[in-house]
Amino acid sequence: MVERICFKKCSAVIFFLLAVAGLLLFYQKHKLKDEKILDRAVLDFGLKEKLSRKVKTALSLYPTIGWEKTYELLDEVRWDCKRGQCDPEIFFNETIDDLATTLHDNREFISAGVTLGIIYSGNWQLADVDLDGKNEIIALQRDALNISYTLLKIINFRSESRVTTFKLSQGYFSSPNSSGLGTLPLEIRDINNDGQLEILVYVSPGRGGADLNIFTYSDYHLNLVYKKDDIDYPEYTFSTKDRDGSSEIAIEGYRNGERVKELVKL
Amino acid sequence: MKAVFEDKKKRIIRGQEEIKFNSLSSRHLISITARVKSKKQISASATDDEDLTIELDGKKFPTLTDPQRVADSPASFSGGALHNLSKTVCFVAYLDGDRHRITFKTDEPTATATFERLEVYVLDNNDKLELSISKEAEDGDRRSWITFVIDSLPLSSFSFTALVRKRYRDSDDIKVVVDGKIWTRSVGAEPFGGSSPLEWFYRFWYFAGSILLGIQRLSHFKTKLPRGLHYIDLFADRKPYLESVEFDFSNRALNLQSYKDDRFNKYDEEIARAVDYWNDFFLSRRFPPIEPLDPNLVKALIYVESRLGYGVSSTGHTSFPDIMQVGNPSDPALHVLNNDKSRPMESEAYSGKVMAVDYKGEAKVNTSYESIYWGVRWLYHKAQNIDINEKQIWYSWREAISRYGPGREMYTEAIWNLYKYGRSPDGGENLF
Repeated sequence: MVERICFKKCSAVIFFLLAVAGLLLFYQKHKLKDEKILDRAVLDFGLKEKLSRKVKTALSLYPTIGWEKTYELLDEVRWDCKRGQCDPEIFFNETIDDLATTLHDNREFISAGVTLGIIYSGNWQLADVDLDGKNEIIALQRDALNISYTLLKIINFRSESRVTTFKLSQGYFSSPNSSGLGTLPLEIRDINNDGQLEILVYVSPGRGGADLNIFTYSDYHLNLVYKKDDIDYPEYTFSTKDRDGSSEIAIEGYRNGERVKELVKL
Repeated sequence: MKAVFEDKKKRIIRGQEEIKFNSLSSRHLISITARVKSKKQISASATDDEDLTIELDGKKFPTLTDPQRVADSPASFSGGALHNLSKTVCFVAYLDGDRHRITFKTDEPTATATFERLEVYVLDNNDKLELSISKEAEDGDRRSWITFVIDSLPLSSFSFTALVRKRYRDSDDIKVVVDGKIWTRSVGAEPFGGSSPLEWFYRFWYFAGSILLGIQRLSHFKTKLPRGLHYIDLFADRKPYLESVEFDFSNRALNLQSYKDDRFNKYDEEIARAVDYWNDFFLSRRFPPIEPLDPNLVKALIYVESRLGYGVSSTGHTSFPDIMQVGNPSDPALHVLNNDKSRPMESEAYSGKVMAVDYKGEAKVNTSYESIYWGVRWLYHKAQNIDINEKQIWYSWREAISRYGPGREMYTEAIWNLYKYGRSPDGGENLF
C-alpha cells in the first residue's frame, strides 16, 4: 500500500517536472524566435544621462581634487557603465571636448579617454603634426549611434581652444586596403617628404571601400589637402620618391566594374 | 493559421474594457462579435444610441472620410444601425511585439453593449487568406453584419461564397461595401446573368435572394487596392448565410512598373514579396516611416546596382545572385545584420528602446531573393536614425538610397531618374 502511494507520488512529481521542462522549452523556443530580430537594448537613455552627469561632476571637481581623485571618479563611471552593459562610444563620445578643455596634458587625457572607452587602439595617435616640438593627440570619433559621420579631432594642449574638429560625412572606419574591418582608419606619415606630417583618414560610407582624406594641421587649423572618393574598393600604396624625385600615391580599384590603376603625384 | 487567444464569456461592457493577450510579432486575424442597442431599445429616456469602438494596441480605426471620427466607422458597432443585432468585425493586422491589448470603449449611456466573442489567430505570411465562416445572420432588417478591416495591406481581390434564400415577403440579401462604396454590378453581369428589371431593382444588393433563389454562389471581387486601411462591409437583410471568404493580398507585383526589356521584369514578384514583408514589419512600429517603401524604387536600385543580374557590377562584386549587392564581404551590411563581431555593432530604435541589430547569422545571399530580402532590410536600416533625445528619425527614401550606396550623388541621381522618369543610367533612353 505504502509502495503504491509512493509510486503514485513519484509519478506525479515526474509528470510535473516534465511538464515544467516542456513549458520552459516552449518558452525558450518562442523567446529566441522573437529575440533574433533585434538582440538587446544598447542605449538606456536614463543611464546615459546619469553617467554623463557623473563625468561632468568629476571634471568640475578636477581643479580642487586634482588628477588622481578625478581619475578614481572616472574609473567608477567606467564600472557603472560596464555593469549597465553600456556602449562607451555611444555614452561618452560627446565628453571628449570636456576632457580636453578640463585636463592639463596628454597623459591625463589619454588615461581618461581610455578609461571611458572613447579612445582605443586604432582610433588615435600621438604625433607632432604642427612641428611645435610637442606631441598632439589625433583622434577619430565615430558617430556610434547612427554611423552617419566621423569626427577628426586634434587635441592640442598648447592651443587656447584645445580641440580642433573636422567632420567627415562617412561613418565607417576603413583601411588603406579598403578592408571592411576598419582596423587602420588613421595614419600619420610624411607623404611628400616636406618634413611635416600629414594625417591620413580612411573612412567609408558603408559601400565601395575606403575614401582617402589627407589633412595637414597648422596654426591650430585642420586643412583638407587631398580627397579621393571616386574609385570603388581602392588600395592605396605610397612611394616616397619616384624617378623624378616626387612622391606618389598608387590607387588600384574598380570604376564601373573595370579594374583601374591611378597614380597621383604629390 | 493558429489560434492564440479566445474569449467566449458573454458580458456587458461597462465604459471601457481591455483584453490582453500575448503572441509574437506577426500578421493576426482578430474576430470580435458584439451587439449594441439603439436608443429606443435602451430606454424611453435614452438620448443617444449605444456605440462600441475598438482599438488594437492603442490604434484607432476611424472612418475613411474623417480620421477623427471613430464612432461610425465600419470597424465599430453602432446601435442606431444594429438595433441589438449581432455584428462581427474581423481585423487583419500586423501586430508588433509580444504583448497586445484590445480596448473596447462605449459611449453614453454605458452598460448596454454586449460582448459575445473574441478569437485571435496568428496568420501565416502568405499572400492568400482563406477563412471558413459558416455563419447565418440573425433575422433582421438591413444592417452591417460582418466587417473585414484590412490594416496596412494591399488588397488585390477577395471572394465570398454565400447563400441567400427567397423568403415570404422579404428575401435574404447581402450588400458588399468596399471602403464606403457599394459594390454594384452591371446588369447582366455575374452572378445573375440576366437583365430583368428585378436585377436593376436589386443592383445595390450583390447577392439577392429573390434572384439567386437559394443557390450558393461564389463571387469574386477584383479590388486592386493599394496598401492602407480598408473596410469590407457586408450588409445583411434577413438571414443570409456566409460560407467562406478568401483574400488575396498579393497585388504589389501588379503595381510594379514594367520595363520594356522583359528580362528586367523577372524579379518583380520577389521584389514585391520582400518589400511587402519589410513594409509590414516597419509600418506596424510605434514610430513607422512616413511612407512605405515603394517596390519600384527597389527595382530601380537593383537595376543600377547590377542591371538585375545581367550586368557587370560597378564594384567588381559578382552581379548574380547578389543582385542588390548587399553581400559584398568588404562592405559592412551582412556583417552588421548578423552582428558577427567583425564590425562594431549597429542599433535601431525598437518599441521606444535602442536595440542592437542582430540576425545571428541568418542574413546571407545565396539566391536572388535573399539578396533582395536582406538588401531591403539594409535599406530600411539606412533609412533610420536615432536622435540623442530618444526620437526616431526616418530619412526620405531618396536620402535612404543615398546612404545605401557609395555616397555619390551620381548614384542617387541614376536611381531616382530611373524610378521617377524611366531614364536609363546608361544613356538616358526610356526603359519603361
